[in-house]
Amino acid sequence: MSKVLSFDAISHWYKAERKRKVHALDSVSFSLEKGSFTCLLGPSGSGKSSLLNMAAGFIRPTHGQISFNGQPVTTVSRERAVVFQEESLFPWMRVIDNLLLALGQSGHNGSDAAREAGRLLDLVGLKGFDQAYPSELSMGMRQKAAIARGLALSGSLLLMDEPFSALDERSRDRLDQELADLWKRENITILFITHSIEEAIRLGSEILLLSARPGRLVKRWDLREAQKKLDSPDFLTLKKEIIRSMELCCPSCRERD
Amino acid sequence: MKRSLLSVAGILFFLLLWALGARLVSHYRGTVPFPGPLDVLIRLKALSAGESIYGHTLWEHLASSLSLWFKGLLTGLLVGIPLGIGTGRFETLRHLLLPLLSILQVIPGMAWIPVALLFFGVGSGATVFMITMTALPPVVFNTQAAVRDIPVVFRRVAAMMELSPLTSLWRIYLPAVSPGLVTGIRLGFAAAWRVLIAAEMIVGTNQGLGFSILQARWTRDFTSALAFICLIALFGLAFEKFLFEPLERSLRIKRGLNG
Repeated sequence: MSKVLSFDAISHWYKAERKRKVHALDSVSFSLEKGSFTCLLGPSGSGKSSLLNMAAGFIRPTHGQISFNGQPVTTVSRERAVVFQEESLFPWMRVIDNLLLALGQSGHNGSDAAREAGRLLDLVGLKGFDQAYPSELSMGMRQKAAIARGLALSGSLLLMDEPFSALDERSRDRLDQELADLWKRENITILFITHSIEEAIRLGSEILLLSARPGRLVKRWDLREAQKKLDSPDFLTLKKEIIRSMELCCPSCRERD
Repeated sequence: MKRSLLSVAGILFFLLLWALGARLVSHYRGTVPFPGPLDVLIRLKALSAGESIYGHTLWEHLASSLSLWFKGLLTGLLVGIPLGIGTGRFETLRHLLLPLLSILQVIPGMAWIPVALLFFGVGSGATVFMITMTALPPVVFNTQAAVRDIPVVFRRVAAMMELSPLTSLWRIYLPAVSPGLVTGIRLGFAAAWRVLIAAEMIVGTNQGLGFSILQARWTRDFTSALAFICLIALFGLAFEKFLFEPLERSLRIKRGLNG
């Protein structure tokens, strides 16, 4: 399988108050294969979001290199579309206009763009909401529209930064399910950041665990063959294993801080 | 409906109070009769029919004031909005200009009289200058705040979409700052309107609402003075009610703050 996104020995320091430098990431290497759903799991401050922002091109790593389809990432690009944690639809545009603006950038015009927008809204389950303003939608629906916009921009890779963390548990479960279905149908590659072990197991084709600051890659689980039913033995074993790994890596990291 | 009825009732109550107060003042002071609402209305009617006062008709005075107001305001906006955007976007520029702009903000409009006279002498130039200087701070500071308040995520989305600078400006940044911009313009409008009347009284030409009020004082034509004051209030209110309120409301609805 071909590699879509590669992180090669990424280390990062960022400036904090009083010229203090914080070591956020320590030589993290991994890559996303085409069609994979990679969940990045780790405690707060482990640099998950930093990695995603680097992949998007919003920030540059202090050391190391990120490649997208073999090319080094140096700028922001619509081909590496981000679905943000916070609301990112433009509130002064209707849902359809948010999508059309994105589609116009990826080469769709006129009736072709309208057709594609309709298809995407259908895909994320927002059929009939094209004329709504974001404020008229629930939080979950807004995030779905943001996913549709991401697909309108890129269509092959989505970088998702805890997109459902502001939702209540039931909505999140539902959106997780819908996202999993969408991923299977559309053959996209997803990098998904989450705090929730259960969400990571449910969604991911693989899970990467980062340690607490400075973030290091602790462990990788391949879930392609795993049973994902909530009460299946696989699920529970895996959950226990991840929790144990987290407990193992975090206290030691805290001591070093 | 109920709210507008209450507003009308409030205005009627004020007119009643005015009428009563006028009677009382006239009775106890007795020197010059205090004009009541009816006297002022009759005077306004005569003036609006084209009766000349202090060398011009009412409409000429009004047109003169409005034209100065717009000139001053337009200059204020043309200078203020770019300044606001610039200082909002670039930190260096902000720190460079902040002390200066803060000083501007605390100087009352009327304090510019000597400076205005030094620059332009007596006449409309001085008035326009005072209006500009008064309108400038609210426009600059509100625009600046609006630019600084653009959420990082919007900037990032605009970058991620690879929008051209012109498209980003038009579709993202301008709509994002428009509520703040409108607030700035609105406050600038109001501040300018107040200083305009004062400026006309002192440095103005021999025309305009402010000038007329002052003339009415010298000639003891208090009915006309009150007629002009009513006119000032009406116009200020009209701009607020029919220009800015609908504008701000439509912006709020679009952003879902008041759907």
